[in-house]
Amino acid sequence: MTMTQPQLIPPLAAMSDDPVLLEDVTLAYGDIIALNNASLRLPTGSVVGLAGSNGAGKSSLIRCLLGLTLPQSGRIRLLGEDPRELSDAARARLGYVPQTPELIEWMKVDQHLDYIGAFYPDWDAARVADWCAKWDLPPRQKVAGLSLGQKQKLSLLLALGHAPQLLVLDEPVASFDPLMRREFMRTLFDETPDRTVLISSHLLSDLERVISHLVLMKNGRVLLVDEWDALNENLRRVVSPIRLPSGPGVLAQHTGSEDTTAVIDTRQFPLSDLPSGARQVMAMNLDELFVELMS
Amino acid sequence: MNMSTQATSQAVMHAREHSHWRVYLTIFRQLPVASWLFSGLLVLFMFALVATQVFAAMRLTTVVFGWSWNVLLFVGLGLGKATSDLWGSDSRRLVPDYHRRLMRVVTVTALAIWSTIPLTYWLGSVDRDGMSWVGGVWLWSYGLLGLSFIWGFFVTRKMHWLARVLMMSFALLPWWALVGYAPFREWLFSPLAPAWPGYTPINLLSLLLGPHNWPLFFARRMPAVQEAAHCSSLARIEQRVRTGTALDGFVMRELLQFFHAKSRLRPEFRVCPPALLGWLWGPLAMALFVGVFAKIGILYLAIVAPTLAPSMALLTAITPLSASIGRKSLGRYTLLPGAAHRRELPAWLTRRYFAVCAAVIAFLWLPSLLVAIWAEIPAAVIGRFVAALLLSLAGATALQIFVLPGKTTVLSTPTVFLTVFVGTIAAVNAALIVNDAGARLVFAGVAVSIATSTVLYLWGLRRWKTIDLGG
Repeated sequence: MTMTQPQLIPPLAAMSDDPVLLEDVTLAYGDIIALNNASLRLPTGSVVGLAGSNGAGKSSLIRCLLGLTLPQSGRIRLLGEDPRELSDAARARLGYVPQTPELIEWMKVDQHLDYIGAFYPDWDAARVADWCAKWDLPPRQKVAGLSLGQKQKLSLLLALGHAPQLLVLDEPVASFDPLMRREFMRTLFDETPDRTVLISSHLLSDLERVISHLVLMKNGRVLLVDEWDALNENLRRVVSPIRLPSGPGVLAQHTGSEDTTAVIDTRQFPLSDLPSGARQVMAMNLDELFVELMS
Repeated sequence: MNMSTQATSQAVMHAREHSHWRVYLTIFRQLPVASWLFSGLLVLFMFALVATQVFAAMRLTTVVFGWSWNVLLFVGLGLGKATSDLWGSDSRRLVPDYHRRLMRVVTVTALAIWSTIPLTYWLGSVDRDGMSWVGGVWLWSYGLLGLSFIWGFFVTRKMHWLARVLMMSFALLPWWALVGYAPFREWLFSPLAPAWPGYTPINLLSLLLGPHNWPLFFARRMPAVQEAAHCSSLARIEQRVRTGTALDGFVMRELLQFFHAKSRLRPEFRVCPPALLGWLWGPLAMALFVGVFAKIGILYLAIVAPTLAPSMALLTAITPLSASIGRKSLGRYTLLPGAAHRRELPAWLTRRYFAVCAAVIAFLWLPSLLVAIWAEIPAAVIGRFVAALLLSLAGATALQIFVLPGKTTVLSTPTVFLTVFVGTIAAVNAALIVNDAGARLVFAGVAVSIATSTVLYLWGLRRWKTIDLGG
């Protein structure tokens, strides 16, 4: 089986008020290229799913975006500012949930919330208390005694309590059970509809339900970025007796012993251009798209 | 700045006016909680104090002085621990105005506590005579310098018992020296020869057992120094990889580059030599402590003792050293090249680090200076004392530089400072060597110490290069 190199779909044109903008960002750890000319923008109010295999560069992209790691080259704007010198005003509009909860272990849950909440002018203690109750987070429990899932919940509350306009989540629900994941997603997106969210996750079925845009990464490159509805509507998996001509609209091809499976974008490669004998033109969910493009 | 940002900025400013004190109070409330984690240690200190009090047979001055020392020690530890816990994490780096406010509270708290020293000093009417204090107090000051290293053991090596034994040794030795078996005590604190004023058995023992030599005993890692060396070295490596340029100025960095350029070691091995190199500064600074302070022993008793230790404690509390020895960082730095920026200091602190230190130290010294003037100590003697104190603090700060985590620019900034420091050392040394036969002997010892350290460094470097530690 062979595969054609998926073609990069260029990022959307940047707008001046986009909360997130990365241009040609490159980051290397020694010989390892974590980000390779990655470009991305998040429109205001978008919910962007960041997917990719392990080591694809998702966390590196998030860390560069937040100014936690300095890239070798490229331009980054976060809430209109240089992330390395983010103003307090911008920080107050930002929420971040790291991959591993970073909590102060000796505090109790309510102390921790109160402690961090004190720094935010818009911290909504009542709302946080509601979430605490709804998510079964014991307020008088010491952080050190919480389970990993509970720590993730607390980490999320710390990022959500000030109703941030931009929320960056690095695999925030990995330790949640399915019910909690669903509850969290509902909370996340029902409460503040105009919030911009960047969420990295391997749980693609969860992502698929909530995202407005999808970013797929592979080997440090942004492979695919577009509105999820548009991708859902226009990306098709086709099985053809012959290989499709490489070019715009053919994102991937796997050639087997008898036929070729390809992923096409019908906006650039209309179905009418398919060779005769092509069959099984199918829409794909995010799981299937991920497998086709990443395998 | 767009409309949304402006509105939020105004909201933040508005809210800050109202929440200012709430933030500070919230931080302040957490400090004792964090410090309380040292309660076990405090109990041990209390036990030591009670025992001392009994054995001292109502030597009030000893008790008062001892209390202030122990409280300060505890405060230094507690604040260091609290700062360390509250300081570092990626997510908290994104909290508005977080580190600045935290540092304000910690600094003000430390200063407030420290300001009580003259009071206890006055209340205690401390006996300023008797050489036994020199070794004891000096040793304790030295111990304070090692506190952060000890804490590194707490959190990274899980060798609590060992750390506690060492801590207790530092806590108990001065007391034991006062109340222990008199002939042995006198021998412990007497110079080995009249012409070698600084070379008392206790001081030599300290040089041998001091924090800078701990890696020799444990043959592995000295967490605070090494971790920070990981950090700074990785930042340098990263910088070099990025820019392809040589590292800036300072001779030791050139030395590092010389060694690194010839090695093809994995990053976790490459970061070890700077830590080993850091050892050089321990013997250097500490031997200077011994020599210079022994020359001005009485003055040291009167002024330096109540100044130096809290200075150290405060520096430990407020400098990034405390923050650099958090629970999780050692493994991260070791295993994740390029992760140095995880604990990158806020720019304002890196830029103003030395200004901050200078200001804090000036504030710390001022009351002592007033005490000295009040005590009618001659200006020339005070001048000598200040010179010696500057030298010692410069030595301590130099140590801090080596354990200062952060990006490459952190280490390029203090080149001027280091030049001044080295120049000061040279000038003071030259003056002492010319004028005093005893000083010649002392600094001959310093030279031996430096030479020994260099040998150790080179030996350690070779060892790190050849030993396969796995991973």
